[in-house]
Amino acid sequence: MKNKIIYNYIGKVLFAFSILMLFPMIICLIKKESLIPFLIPFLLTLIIGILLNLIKTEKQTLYAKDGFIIVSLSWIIISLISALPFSISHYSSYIDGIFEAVSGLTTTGASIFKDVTILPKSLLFWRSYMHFIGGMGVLTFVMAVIPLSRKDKSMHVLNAEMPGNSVAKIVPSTKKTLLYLYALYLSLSLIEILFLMIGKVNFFDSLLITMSTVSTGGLTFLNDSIASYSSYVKLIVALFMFLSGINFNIYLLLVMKKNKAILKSEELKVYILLFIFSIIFIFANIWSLYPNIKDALLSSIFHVSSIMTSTGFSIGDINVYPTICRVFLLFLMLVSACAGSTCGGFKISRLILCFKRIKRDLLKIVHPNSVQIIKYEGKRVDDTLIDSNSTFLFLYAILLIIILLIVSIDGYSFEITINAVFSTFSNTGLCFEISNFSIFSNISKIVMSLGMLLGRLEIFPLVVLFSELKKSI
Amino acid sequence: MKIIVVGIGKLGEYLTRSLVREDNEVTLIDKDFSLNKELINNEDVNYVCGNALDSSVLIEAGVQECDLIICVMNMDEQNILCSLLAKKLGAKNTIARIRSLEYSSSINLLKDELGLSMTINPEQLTALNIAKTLSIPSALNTTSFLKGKLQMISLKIKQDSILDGISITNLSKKHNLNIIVCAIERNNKVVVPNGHDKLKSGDMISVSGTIKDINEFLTFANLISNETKKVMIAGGSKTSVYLAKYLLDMNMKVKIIEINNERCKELSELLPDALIINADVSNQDILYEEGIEDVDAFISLTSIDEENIVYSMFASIKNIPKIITKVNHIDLSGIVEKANIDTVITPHRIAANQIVKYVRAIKNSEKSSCEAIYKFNDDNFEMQEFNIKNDFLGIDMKIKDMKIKNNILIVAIQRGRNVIMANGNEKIKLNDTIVLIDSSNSIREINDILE
Repeated sequence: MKNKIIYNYIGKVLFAFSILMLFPMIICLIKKESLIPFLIPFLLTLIIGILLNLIKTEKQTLYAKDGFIIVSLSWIIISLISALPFSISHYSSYIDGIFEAVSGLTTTGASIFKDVTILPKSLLFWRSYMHFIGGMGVLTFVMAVIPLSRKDKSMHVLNAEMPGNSVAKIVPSTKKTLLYLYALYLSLSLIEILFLMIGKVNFFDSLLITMSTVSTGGLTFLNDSIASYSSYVKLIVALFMFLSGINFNIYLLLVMKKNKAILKSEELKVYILLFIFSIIFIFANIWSLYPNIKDALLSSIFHVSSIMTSTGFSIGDINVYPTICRVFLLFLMLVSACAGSTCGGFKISRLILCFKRIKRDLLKIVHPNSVQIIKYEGKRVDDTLIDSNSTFLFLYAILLIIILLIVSIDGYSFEITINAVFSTFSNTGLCFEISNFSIFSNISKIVMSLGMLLGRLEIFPLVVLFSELKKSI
Repeated sequence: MKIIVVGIGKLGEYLTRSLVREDNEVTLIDKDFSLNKELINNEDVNYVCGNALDSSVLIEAGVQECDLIICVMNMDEQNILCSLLAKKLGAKNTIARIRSLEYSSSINLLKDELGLSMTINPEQLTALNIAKTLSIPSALNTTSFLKGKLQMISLKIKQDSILDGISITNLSKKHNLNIIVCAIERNNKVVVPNGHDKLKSGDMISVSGTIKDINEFLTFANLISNETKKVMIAGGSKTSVYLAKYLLDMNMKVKIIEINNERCKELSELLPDALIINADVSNQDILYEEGIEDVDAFISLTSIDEENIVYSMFASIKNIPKIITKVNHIDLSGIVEKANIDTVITPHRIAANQIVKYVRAIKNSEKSSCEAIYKFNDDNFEMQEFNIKNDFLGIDMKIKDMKIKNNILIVAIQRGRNVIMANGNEKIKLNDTIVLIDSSNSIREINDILE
């Protein structure tokens, strides 16, 4: 925390975020709604950002620890600021606002609003817009857009924010890589908007649905999520959720015509196979409950794609699912999709590595002197990475249990408690039996917000931040 | 420019940092990156883990679209093979490090067949550098520009020196010295001086001029020391062999102290005219026996930095007029330079500068190109040599009329065979070669010097 460059960096991040806040204000002007809920946080962010930017330092080097601290502090501050529009406009308390904002930024999609249709358009836009920003990450945006000095483009920051074990750069320049990723993100969004508009959804609605889809967020502007749309729209949304769950680097490789590298990707194969298997599995268990097979198929495709990519859209009928399907979907929630996408959960790549380690360690028990290296995507994996992968999964489980314990104080049914915690921690946001999270106490909301941040930033950054805070007290 | 660096040792690392600083897109290849975590995390580079002699690894690193591949692995054979492979796969230019004595002479014959754009031999470059420094012993460092016509020396002003308190304009006006003071380092800060600045004792100054003018300056400053005759070299490395050859050509007496008996025999075969002593340099008795107190220069060239530093400290206690220390580790060299043991030479820096110069030249091949480059003071200062072509915006203008950036000083102009020390009234013409000093580190092409 002593390195002053941290504060300077956060200043830059806030400055960039204040610029991003201009868009909802444009929506306010178009829809003729009050500007105040956005103007105040905008000015606040801008001023804090500029003030922090004034901190100048001689030393320019960022260490791994600093990267973690910058990312976690930025996310916490931005979450606190993003909550303001909700409470300033008196639609929710500040704590509820924080839950909603964190849920937005971490692309969870859990909401505390009982009825979202009463919200003004600008706030509805703001909810989906937070998904869109948070999906790719705020700091990656800063690195891609703001001119930074050479030392500021530290991989430590990128590694801390981007999901997955490590960041793979397609081209040597960080800035170019990020610009490519953003270009991809935007074009994916544009294509979806186009497809939705073909399905006779108006522009504003398709914009909101798109921003929630490509970021795998899940907040919508209707109380029944996507249920009231035609099956064409549902299929399109399901398709784009699936596409957003693929590692974005795969698309870049596709564009650069490096097909060999794509075929090497184990994660992609497992993702697609698991996806197909899940659809068949769910379909086999529910088809008898539906009057016609088409609805059953659509429901299983949509919900597998929504839950596996941690989006959390629903088409309403999920509560009829039998227990086996619900448990299976909970498992999918935690695993989620590929690293390097906008998904939550602990990512398929980690699961693959974990299984490979189990296989190796079991072999070691049978043949104590055997030597086997672990290969992933055709490459030898460093032992330190394997270890940190296991530590991650272990921490993931422990934190999940702790949050579960705290939330269970509220005394809701076992299923609701477990489901709410799993769904927030994995950034999915979909919950069986309840359609929103307003029933929980303030403590549970704060703990679950923390859980969402932990899930999005993949635990380590926040743990480092808290251990550093403890040291400085 | 897209550049691939193969082999991330000390040279590879330093080279990468320099190239990234010049906004090149750098991809690294090495078998193991566990020692280079900091480099990958802090620099804007991409990396591929694998054997660079495997074509699939090269392709993954993007060899087909790369402009330049630099092979600096441990073994010469690997470097040659790798650059050959890269050339076949579509790399536009290749540079290989070749340090073995036997290859370096024969490689020129094969350069075209192997498709090598350039070979780099850090040991030889280092030796050449040391030999140059020994030719002007009172200077800490000697560098030459304009194909040797212009020299820059750096020296420290001693307490009772005549230079103490003299102002820079007076040097030329009163004392009629046709030299330019390029930089003054005072209290760890380096500035490009203007005419009113005064020199003080303790300053480290860099002065440039033609060889004749530099000699006049040294005579004026009473710094001409006796010609170097006897040189003692600690360690029988490759650099020592190259250096001994140069020095023997300059009619100096060379003693090499080497601990390994077998190596001594090899050295004796390679250098029949040098005296080879089989002993441990840390054994003081031997040093006295071999007359360390009588030598004019002592050069530490063993492979271990720390040993080199200690030997040089010992030599400085014995008041040897000229001490040169080879320090491989870039970080260490900065500390050693501050510790006052005369001249410090860093082979990687010399080699990397050579490559950076080449990179700049191919980048601007159509424009006024950079012909030579020399960095000093922890790479914060750069001397560059530019060949003026039509694209320069200040052609036929007087230097004082050009809006030149603050931290840049034009030092000299070469027109035809003449070298003119720059002053405000001089004009820059087409096909001139100019030498300039830059403390902003922002000059990539000639027009960058203008506001």
